[in-house]
Amino acid sequence: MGPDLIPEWDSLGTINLLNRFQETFNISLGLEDAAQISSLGEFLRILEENESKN
Amino acid sequence: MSQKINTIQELFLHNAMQHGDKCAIICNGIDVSYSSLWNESLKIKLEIQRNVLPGCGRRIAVITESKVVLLYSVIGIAQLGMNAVLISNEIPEAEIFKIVESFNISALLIDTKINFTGDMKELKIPLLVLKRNDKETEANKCYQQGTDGSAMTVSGGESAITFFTSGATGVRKAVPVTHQNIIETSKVINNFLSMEKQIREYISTQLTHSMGLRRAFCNFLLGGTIVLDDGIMNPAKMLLSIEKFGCNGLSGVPSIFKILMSQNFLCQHLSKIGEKIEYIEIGSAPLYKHEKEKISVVFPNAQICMHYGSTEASRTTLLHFKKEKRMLDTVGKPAYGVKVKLTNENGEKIEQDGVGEICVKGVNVTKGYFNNDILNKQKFLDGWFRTGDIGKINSEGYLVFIGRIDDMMNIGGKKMYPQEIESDLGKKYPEFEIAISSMPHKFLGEEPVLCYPQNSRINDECFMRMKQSLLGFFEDYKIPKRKIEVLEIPKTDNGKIIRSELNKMLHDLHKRN
Repeated sequence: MGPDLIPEWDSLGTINLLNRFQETFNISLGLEDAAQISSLGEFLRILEENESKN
Repeated sequence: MSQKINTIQELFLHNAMQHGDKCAIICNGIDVSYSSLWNESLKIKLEIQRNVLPGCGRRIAVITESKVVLLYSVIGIAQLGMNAVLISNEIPEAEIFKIVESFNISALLIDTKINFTGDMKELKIPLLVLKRNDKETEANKCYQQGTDGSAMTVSGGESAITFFTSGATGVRKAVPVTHQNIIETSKVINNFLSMEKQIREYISTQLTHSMGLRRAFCNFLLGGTIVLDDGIMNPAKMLLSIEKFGCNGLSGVPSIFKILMSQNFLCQHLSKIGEKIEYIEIGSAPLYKHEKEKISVVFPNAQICMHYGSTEASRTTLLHFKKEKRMLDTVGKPAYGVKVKLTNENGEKIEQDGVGEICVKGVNVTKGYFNNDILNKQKFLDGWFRTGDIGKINSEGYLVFIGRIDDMMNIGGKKMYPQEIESDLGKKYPEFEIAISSMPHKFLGEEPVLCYPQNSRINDECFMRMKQSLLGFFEDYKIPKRKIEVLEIPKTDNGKIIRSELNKMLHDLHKRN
């Protein structure tokens, strides 16, 4: 699920999502990761990767 | 460029012949040369010729997710002397049907990723599906001549492209612009910024938007390279592309620059690329003086230009952030070849020291809205375009934007524009997002109120400080006595406040209470 199905997901929406994600899960996103975000699945992938690191 | 270029097709033919192997576009990391750009546009031209009766001025609508395909289409359509009607792929399908019917569209070009759920056969016009060419082929590396053997004679004064604009008014209008309009205004900007051939610019604005496409032409006129990413603008992706492809130019609407400068995870990277940027154009929405100063600091080596002007009169005035530092609270001086005057309510020119409607005349102005006689009569008077904006001209000839006529509030018979207060508070309290609007008032008719979104956290003490900071600078009736929390302040993609929506929210709130 991504911007195609979520009308609020525009460029500002991307920033809001990135900020909220970092705040909620206390994760500091790198530019590469942030640049790849184009679906909710990408957020899940980053979460899983982060959990496996810890 | 020594040869005189009058039309879009002349520009791209020239580029394909002179430096066909040079990179014109990098989109999603894929290079497109000038010869490839020309050759692909020829294919689109032939496809249209096969399906549409010939005739200068015919309108061909283009809907695509691919910015490269959009450019192929614009050039292909221009070669036939037809008009490319650019429709954003974000426009709902029902509205696309309406546009096709209302604007006498002869054919619809779409790419393979556009899926309509309705029956397009009902439109009774050819639906041409464009195939994306994602790889540079060997054949495309050489410039190909037109394959039909005939050269279409098109003059620079003919319409080439139609943009749709709704701006802050919410009503969609079709604005056709000529070849000359596109080419001459691009030349003016290039001269203003002293741009050179080595330009490689990241364009963050959509190409269906007047500013985005015009930026592309500024670069193409110099034989430069534009860097694009398809899809939703992602500022992180943008910074990576700027670095990866060695961009020295950048353009976008104010909100993009504000996002880049306000997010910690972007700021760090921005400081790395900031010094490498040499040219910047910003436009389509206002910026406060302190925001312009901040951008100047973040990009210390850049020639930075901000334009004022709607789609109908693009690049009316220009302001150079570095050379005109003292004038950052203005929108600059009229661009070369553009005349600006202020008029009163009767359309009469205001000579000096007055506030009036900003009217524009010049090559940058559209000849009129398509299929909208009523609006054309209202907005065009003796060759002047009435912008609907209110401004004044300072003692040094710089234009100061005050607000929109439609936004004028009437406080017990006295006029005020919300932008006057917003601009002042924006300078003093840049950390807060606010908007000034009006609420019905028992005695005054309406009263100004300060609106803020839930996440702004403006408490009573903070509001009191804001009000005190306005005392002595503004008449008392202009100072909001109440603050109202709203879910969010409605804004366009360019960051302009949609005042009609905000007003409706407040009036609904008033009724409920």
